[in-house]
Amino acid sequence: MQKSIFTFVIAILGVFLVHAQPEGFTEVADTAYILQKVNEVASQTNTINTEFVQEKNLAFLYEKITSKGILLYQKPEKLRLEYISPFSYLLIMNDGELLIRNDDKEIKIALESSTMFNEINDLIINSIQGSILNMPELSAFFYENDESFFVQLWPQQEGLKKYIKTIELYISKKDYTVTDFKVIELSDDYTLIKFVNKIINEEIPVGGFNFQ
Amino acid sequence: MKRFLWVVLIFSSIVLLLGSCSSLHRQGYRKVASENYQFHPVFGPDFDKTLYAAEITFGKNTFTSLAIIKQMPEYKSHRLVFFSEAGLQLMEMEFLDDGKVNVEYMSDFLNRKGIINKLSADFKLLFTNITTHSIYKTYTIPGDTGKFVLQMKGEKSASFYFSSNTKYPLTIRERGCYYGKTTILLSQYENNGPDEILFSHKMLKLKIALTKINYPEWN
Repeated sequence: MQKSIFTFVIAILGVFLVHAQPEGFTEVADTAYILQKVNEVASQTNTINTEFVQEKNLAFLYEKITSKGILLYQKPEKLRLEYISPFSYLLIMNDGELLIRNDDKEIKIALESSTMFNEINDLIINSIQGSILNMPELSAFFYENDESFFVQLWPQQEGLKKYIKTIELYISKKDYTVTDFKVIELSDDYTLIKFVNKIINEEIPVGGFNFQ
Repeated sequence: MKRFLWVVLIFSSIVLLLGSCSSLHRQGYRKVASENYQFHPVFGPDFDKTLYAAEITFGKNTFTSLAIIKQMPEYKSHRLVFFSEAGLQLMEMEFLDDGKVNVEYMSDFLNRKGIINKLSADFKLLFTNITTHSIYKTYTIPGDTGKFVLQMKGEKSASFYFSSNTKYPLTIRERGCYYGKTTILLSQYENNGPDEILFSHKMLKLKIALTKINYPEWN
C-alpha cells in the first residue's frame, strides 16, 4: 500500500516537473487561436533574411559558446545557414540536396539518403516559419506573458527522442514569428538561437542558395 | 598444431617488439637515464580550455564538427566534447589523470564499441600525465641534437613521445604494428595547448584533424 502511494506521488510530481510552467508565463487557454495566427503568418511568409546569435551551453562550462551568422530562407525548402564568427561554416539546403562548406572543403549530401539530416532539415525549416507547431512528431504546451508565447515541444518519435529532450520556442505577440529557438538535449545541455534584425518577404540576393 | 600456433604467435610478438625498438636505434636514438629529459604535458597545468574545429575522415566520408577540451582541476581530469556547428552534441568523454576514461555521452550513431574504444585510446594519449614515474625508458640521439623520446608505461601497450628541441611532444606514437595503431602530430604550441592536432592510423582509414579556433572571449 505504502509503495503504491509513493509511486503515485512520484508520478504526480513527475508530471509537474516535466511540464513545469516557466517563470513569468501562464498557461494559454486558447491554443487554437495561436496555431491559426502562426499558420496564417507562415503561409504569408515567402522569404526570411535574418541574423542569428547561437549560444551553446554545456553543463561543465561556466561560459556559453557564442557564434553568429546569417540565415536565409525561401519557400518551400531553400535554406542558407552561414556562420561567420568565431568560425566560418556554410550550410545550404536546396532541391533535396545539402551542401556543407567548411573553409575550403565541401560536402554534398542527398537529403533523401540520410534520415537524420532529413529530420533535422524538417525541424529547422519548420521552426523558422513556426509550422513546427503542426508537426505530429512533437506534442506542444503553450504559455504566454505580455510580449511572447512560449511553446514547449516534446518529441514523440523515437528518432528525435534519441537526440532531443525538448524544443522551446518564443513567438512574438507582435508579428507571430519565432524569435528564439532552444534545443535541449538529453544531457540537459542546450543550444539557443536568437533571430535578430529579421526581414520578411524581401527578395533574397541572387545566388543565395547556389552551391557555387 | 595448437602448439605450433602458439610458437608462431610468441615469435611474431617478439619480432614486433624488437622491431619497434630497433626502429628507434636505426634513427640513431640511444637509451639514456631519464632524469634530464622531461616534457611538458600536451595540455599543461596552466591550460584551461580550447575550442577546436574538427575534421573527421573515415574512408571516403568526411565530417566536420567543433570540439572543446577543458581541464577540470577539481575532478583531476580533462573533458572532451564534440558537437556539430549547429550545436547538437555528438560525444562527451572524461579523461582522468589516473588513466581512466568515462564516456559521459555518445550520440546514437557513434555508439559502437569499436568507435568508443578507438576514440578513448587515441585521446587518452593526449592527456597522459608525464611524470618520472610514468616514463619507462628515455632515448636521445648522442651529440646534443636536442631530440629525445620518452617511452611511457602503458597497461596494454607502450607509447612513445617524440620531441625536437622543444619541451613539448611533437609526435606521439603507439608501439607495434597492429591494426589501427595511432600516430599523433602536434604543432604550434601556445599557452593553451597545440594549435593543430592530427590523428592518423595504420591500416585504418580514420583521420581526425583538430585546428584551434581563435575565440576571443576565451583568450
